[in-house]
Amino acid sequence: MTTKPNIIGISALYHDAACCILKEGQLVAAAEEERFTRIKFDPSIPQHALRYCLREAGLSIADIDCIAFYEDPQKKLARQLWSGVVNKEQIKQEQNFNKAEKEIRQILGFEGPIRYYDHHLSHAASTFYFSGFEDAAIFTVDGVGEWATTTYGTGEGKDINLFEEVHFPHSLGLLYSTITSYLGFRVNNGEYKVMGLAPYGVPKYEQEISQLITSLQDGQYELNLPFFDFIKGKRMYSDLLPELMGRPARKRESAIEQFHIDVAKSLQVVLESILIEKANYLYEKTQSPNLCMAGGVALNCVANGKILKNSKFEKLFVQPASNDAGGALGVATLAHVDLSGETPQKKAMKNVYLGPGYHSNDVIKLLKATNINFENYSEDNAAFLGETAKRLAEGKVIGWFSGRMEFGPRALGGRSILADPRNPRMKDRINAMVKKREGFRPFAPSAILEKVSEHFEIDHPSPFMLETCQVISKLELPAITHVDGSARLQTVSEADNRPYYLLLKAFDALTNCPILLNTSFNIRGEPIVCTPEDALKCFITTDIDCLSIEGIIIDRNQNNFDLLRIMLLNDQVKNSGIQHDVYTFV
Amino acid sequence: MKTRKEKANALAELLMAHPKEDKAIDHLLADLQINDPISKQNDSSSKSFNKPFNDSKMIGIWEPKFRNGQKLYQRKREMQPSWSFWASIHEIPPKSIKKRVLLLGESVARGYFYDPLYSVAQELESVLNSSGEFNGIEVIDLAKTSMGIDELGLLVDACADLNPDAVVLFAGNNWIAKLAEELNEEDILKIKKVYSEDNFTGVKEFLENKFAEIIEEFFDKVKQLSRNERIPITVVIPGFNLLDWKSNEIERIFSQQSGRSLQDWVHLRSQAEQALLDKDYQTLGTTAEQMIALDASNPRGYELLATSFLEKGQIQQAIDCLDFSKDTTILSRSRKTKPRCFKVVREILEKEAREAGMEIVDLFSIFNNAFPKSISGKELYLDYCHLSVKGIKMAMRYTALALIKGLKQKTLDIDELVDSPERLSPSTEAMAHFCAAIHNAHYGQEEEILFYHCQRAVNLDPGIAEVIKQYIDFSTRKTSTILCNSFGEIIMDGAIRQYEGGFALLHPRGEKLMDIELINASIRALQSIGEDCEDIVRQLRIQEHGVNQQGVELLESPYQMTSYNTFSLGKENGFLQVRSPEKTFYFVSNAKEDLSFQLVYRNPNFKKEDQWIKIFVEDKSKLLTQIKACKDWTNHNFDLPASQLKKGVNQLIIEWPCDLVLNTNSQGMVDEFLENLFPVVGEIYSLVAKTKPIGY
Repeated sequence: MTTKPNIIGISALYHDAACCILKEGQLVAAAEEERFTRIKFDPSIPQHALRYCLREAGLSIADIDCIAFYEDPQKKLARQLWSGVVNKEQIKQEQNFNKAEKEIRQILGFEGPIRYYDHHLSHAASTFYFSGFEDAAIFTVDGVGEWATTTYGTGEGKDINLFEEVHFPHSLGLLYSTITSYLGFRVNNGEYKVMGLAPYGVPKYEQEISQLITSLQDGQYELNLPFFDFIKGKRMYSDLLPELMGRPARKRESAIEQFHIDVAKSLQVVLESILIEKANYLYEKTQSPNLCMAGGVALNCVANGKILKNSKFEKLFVQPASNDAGGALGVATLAHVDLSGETPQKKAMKNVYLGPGYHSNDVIKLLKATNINFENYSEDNAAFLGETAKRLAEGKVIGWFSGRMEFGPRALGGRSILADPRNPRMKDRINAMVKKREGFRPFAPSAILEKVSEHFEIDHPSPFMLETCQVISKLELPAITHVDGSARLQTVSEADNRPYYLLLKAFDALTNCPILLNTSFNIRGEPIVCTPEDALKCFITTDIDCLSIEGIIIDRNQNNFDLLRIMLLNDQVKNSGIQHDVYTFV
Repeated sequence: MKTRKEKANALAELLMAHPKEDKAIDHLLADLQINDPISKQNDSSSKSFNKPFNDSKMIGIWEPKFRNGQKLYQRKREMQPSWSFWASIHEIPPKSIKKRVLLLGESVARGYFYDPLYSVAQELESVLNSSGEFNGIEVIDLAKTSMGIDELGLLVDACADLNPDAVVLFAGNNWIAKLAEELNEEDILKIKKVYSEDNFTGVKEFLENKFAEIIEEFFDKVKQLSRNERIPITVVIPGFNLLDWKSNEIERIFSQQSGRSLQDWVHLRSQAEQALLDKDYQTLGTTAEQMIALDASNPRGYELLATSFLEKGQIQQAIDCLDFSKDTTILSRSRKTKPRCFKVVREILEKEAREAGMEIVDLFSIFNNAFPKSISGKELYLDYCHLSVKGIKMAMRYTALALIKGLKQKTLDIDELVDSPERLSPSTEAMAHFCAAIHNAHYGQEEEILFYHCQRAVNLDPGIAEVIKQYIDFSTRKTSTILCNSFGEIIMDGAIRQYEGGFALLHPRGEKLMDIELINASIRALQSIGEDCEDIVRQLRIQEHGVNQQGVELLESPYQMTSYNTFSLGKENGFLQVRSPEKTFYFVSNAKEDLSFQLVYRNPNFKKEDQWIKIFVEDKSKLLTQIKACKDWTNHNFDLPASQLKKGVNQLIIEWPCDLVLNTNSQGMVDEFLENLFPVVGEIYSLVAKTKPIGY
C-alpha cells in the first residue's frame, strides 16, 4: 500500500453499535448508530453511522481499504456453542454463521477486505493507541467478548501484547451485571445506577458478595458458578443468590430499600478490591508507570480512582468510549497498524467531538418552518453566551447544543443539559422536568480547567468525566456533590471545546462560579439528541426552560408549546391508522 | 481427550468453513450434547384467530354495562388508543322497538375520507328509513379502519349480544395479511418448487388455494352466526377501482423469467408505452400480450392490454385484464401495496354466502354494470377501494334492497327505493377529494388523477384553497411535518379531520416526500380558481431544497422517493437498490450556477463488459453522460451546466443496462428468493449534487 489506508471500524450486533473512520490514519469521525435511528443501544450494523462517517471524511465506500470488526465471529460462536445458547435446529438451518460478514456485505454493501480482531484486543487498542503513552500496561474488563472477559497486556509503540486472559464464564462485568439484575435494574443499562447508589450504603454484605468470586493466582479469578445462571442466556442468577443474600430479588420499579443500597456498596467494595489487586499484579508484570483501561467496567469511575490511588501506576488513561462502541476505534487502529505498519495516533485523545455538527443556518431554516419564537444571536457570539449564562444564573435549565456530537456515553458540552450547580433544588427539578431518573443518582459538574483546583481535589485535567474527586469548593454545590462529597468531574479547556469553555467563563463572570451542572441531552429511555430537530423535539416534550442551539436561543417563556407537545406525544404512539398494507408471502 | 471448550472451538471452525463437513459437525453436536429445541407445545391459539380485543364479553372497543337492569355497551377506557379506528359512538344503547342492523367491516365500510362527518352506516340507515318499509330502523356502526380477518372473526362471534335483526358484512380488502402470517417455511419451499416448475401461474394458484382455506375458515363463523342466532346476513363484496387505480413503480418492477431475457420485456414495455402515446391501440394490444407472455406476474402488461381493449370497446376483456392486474400483487413486490379484494375472496364469499342462503351485494358486478360502456373508476372510488359519496350511496341502496329482502321477504326493484336525504356539505366533499389526492400521491398514482381530485376539491369548495396552500407549505419544507407551523394550523382548525384527524399526513422518520406531482397538481387546481402560487412554491423549493456548495444527497427521501411504496425485502440496505430499467432523481436549482454530481454506483449483476449506464437530464431526449457499468463500487463525477437547468425542480434520470447474470438456483429462504426473482440492475451508494463555485 503506497498511501495510508482509509479504514472503517465497526462494533455491532450485540449492543452499542458504532462506526468510526480513520482517514489516512486520522480519526475523522465516529458515532453510535442509536443516535441516528433513535433506538437506544441499537445493536444493528451501523449503516447510518457509516454514511455519516463517510460524508464527514469526504470519502465514498469505494475509497475504503478495509472494514475492521470488533469481534472474532468464530471464537464467539465457539463460546455460544459451549454455553448451549444455540440449538441443533438453529445450527442446521443457518447457512452462514458469520453474521458480521453477511451484514457488512449485504447491508453496508462493502466488497473489500474485512478484518476481525478479538473483542478485548479492540478494547485494548481503543485505550492504548489513544492514550498518548509510548508504553503502558493495558487492563480491559467487561462482561464478555468471545471467551475473554478480562485481559492483561502491554502496549509499546505500535505493538500490543495481551499476555493473559480470564475466560468466560468468569467475569467481573457479569458479576456486576448479575447484582444489577438482582437489585431490580436492567442489565447493560442499570450498572450506572448501582454505582450511583453505592455511596449511600455501607458494605454490610461484603462477605456475601465476596463468596461469589474467588481471586486466583496472577490475573485469574473465578465466579462461584452455582450462584449464577447466565450461561444459558436466560437469567442472570440462580435461586442460590437470593438465598445467600437473605432476600428475594428486588422487583423492577419497586421501592429501593437500605438493603439494596448496602448491597450496591458491598458490590462496589468487592469490585474495587479485586480490581486493585489485579492492577497491582499487572504493574508487577509490566513495571510500566502508565495504565490504560477500557471495557464496560472501566466506566466505573469510582473504581478507576481507587486503582490509581492504590497501585504504583502513576498515570491512567481510560478510553472515554469504554463501552462496546469504543471497540470501533480500537479495531480501526489495529487494522491501520496491520496495513501500514504504523500507529495512527501518536498524541493522546483530546476530545470526543466526533459526531455530526450543524450550522446556525440549518437551525434557522428549521425554526422558520415552525411557529416558534426565537432570538438569533448567530452573528454575535458574546451576546449569545451572555444571554445563555444570564438564564443559567437565573436558575433556568438549558438545553445546550453546540458543535459536533460527542462519541461515547457521556455528554461533554456538545449535547448537554446545563444548570446552576449551586441551586439546592436543581437536582430534583431536572429529574422532574426531563431526566425522570432515580433521585439518588448524582449529576456531574463541568468546570473551567484553570480554576478547577479551587473547587475540586484534582491536579490534572479530566476532560472525559471518567474520574471522581472530592469537592473542596467554598461554594455550596449541592446539585453536583454526591453524598460522599465526591463529584464526577469534567474539566473544560478552551482548546478542547471553545464554545462551552466561553459559556462557563460567562457564567463565572456573572456568578463567580466557574462550574455548571452537565447532564446528557435526552429524555429517559432515548439516546442523546443528534440533530437540531431531535433537540427541538426533546426540548418541547420536556420542561427544559431554554434551548441554546448554535447561536440561537429559544425560551419556553416566549412560546406556547401545548399543541406541539400533544402532537409529538401522539406521534410516538401512532403514525397511521391504515395499517393493513398488503404483505403477501413475505 | 478434548475438553468441552476445545470441542466447541472445533465445531465453530467446522461451522464457519465452506464447504461444510456434515459428518464431523454431527459428531461434535452429539458430543457437545447440542440437541433439537424442546418441541414447541401445540399452540392451539396460533391456529385460531388472534385476539386483538381478547375479552369475549367485549364487542370491539365497547364493554357491557348495566343500567336500570338493561344491558348496554360503552367504550372501554383502556381501549382509548383504538377508539379513533371505530365509529365515534360512546354508547350502544339496549335494543329499542326499532329494528337493529349491525354493520361490520373495514375502512371502506367506515366511509374513509368522510368519517367522522359522514359514514356508510349513516347512509344505510337513512336509505332504510326512507324506504318506508320499517317502523323505525337503526344501523349500529361496528366498522373499523384496518380491521383484519381475525378481528372481524371475533366481532362476528360477539355481535349477537347486541340483539340484531340483521347483520351486514362489508369486508374483504384486508384479508391478504392473514395469508402472509399463515405461510410457513414448508409453504415457502413449495412456492419455490412451484415457481421453478410452473412460474408465476403456479405460485398464484398455490397462494390462492391457501388463501381460500383462510377465507372458508373465517366464513364458518359467519355461517354459525346465521344458523345459531337465526340472523339474516347480507354480505357486501367490495369492489375495486379498476380504471383509475394503477399499479405503482415498485409493483411494476420486472421479474426474472427463467430462460428469457429481461431486456426483451423492457424493450416491449417501451414499445407498448410508445404505442400508447401514439394511440396505436393495435400495436399496444399485441405488444402488451407479449409482455404478459414474458412476465405474467407484472401488472403493467395487463394494464396496457386493458387500455387497448377499452379503446376497442371490448369492456369485459378490459375488466378481466384489470382484475388480473390487481391480483398480481399476491406475489408482492411492494411492502406497501394497498388493500384490495382479490378475485379469490370475491368468489369464495359469493359461493359460501349463496350456499348459506345469505343475501349478496356484489359491488364488483354492480359497479361494472352501472357503466356498461366503460369501467367503474374515480366517479365511484376515491382511491383503490374507498368509495366516493356516489359510490357509497349506490352501494347502500343495493344493500338496503338486500336487507329489505332478508327482513321483510320482499323483493323490490332498485328504482323503487327513494334517495336518502343525506347530503354532504361541499366543504366535506371537497376535503375528501383533497385527502384522496394526498393518499393517491403517497401511494404512487399519477399526476392526472391527483389533479382530478384537487380540481374537484376546489370546484366543490374554493375555500379549501387555504388548506391546500398550508399543505403545500409544510410538504415543501425540509423540516419534519409535525414541527411545521402550517401543519399545526391545519390540525388546530380541525380542517383535515377526515384524514385520520390529520395525523395520516405525518411521515416516518427520514422519509419525508417532496410531493412534487401532488404539489404541481395542486398549483394547477388553484390556478383554475384564480389563485397562483407557482412562483411562491418555486422560491420555497429553492430555499428548502436548492443545491448548494455543501451538497445535497439525492438519496435522501425528498429527492428519490415519490411515494411510500418500498420493495418487499425485509432488510433495509444502507444504499439504494434499483430494480427498474431507470431511476429518476429530483433536485432543485436556481438555474444560475453550474452543478457537479458525485455518483458512487455499481451493477452487481451485470453480464458483460462494455455496457453503459446513461444519465439524462430532464427527459430521455437529453443525454448528459454515459458511464461504464461496473461490478464494484465506483466513483464517478460529472457536471451539469446552468444552461441546461431550469429554475425549480429538475430531473436526473439514470438508465441501467438490463442484460444481467441471473441466479436461478436460489438456496436461501424468502429474502434470497425475492432477490433473485426481482433482480437488482444497479446500486447507488451516494449521489451528491453541488454547486460549482463561480469562476472555478
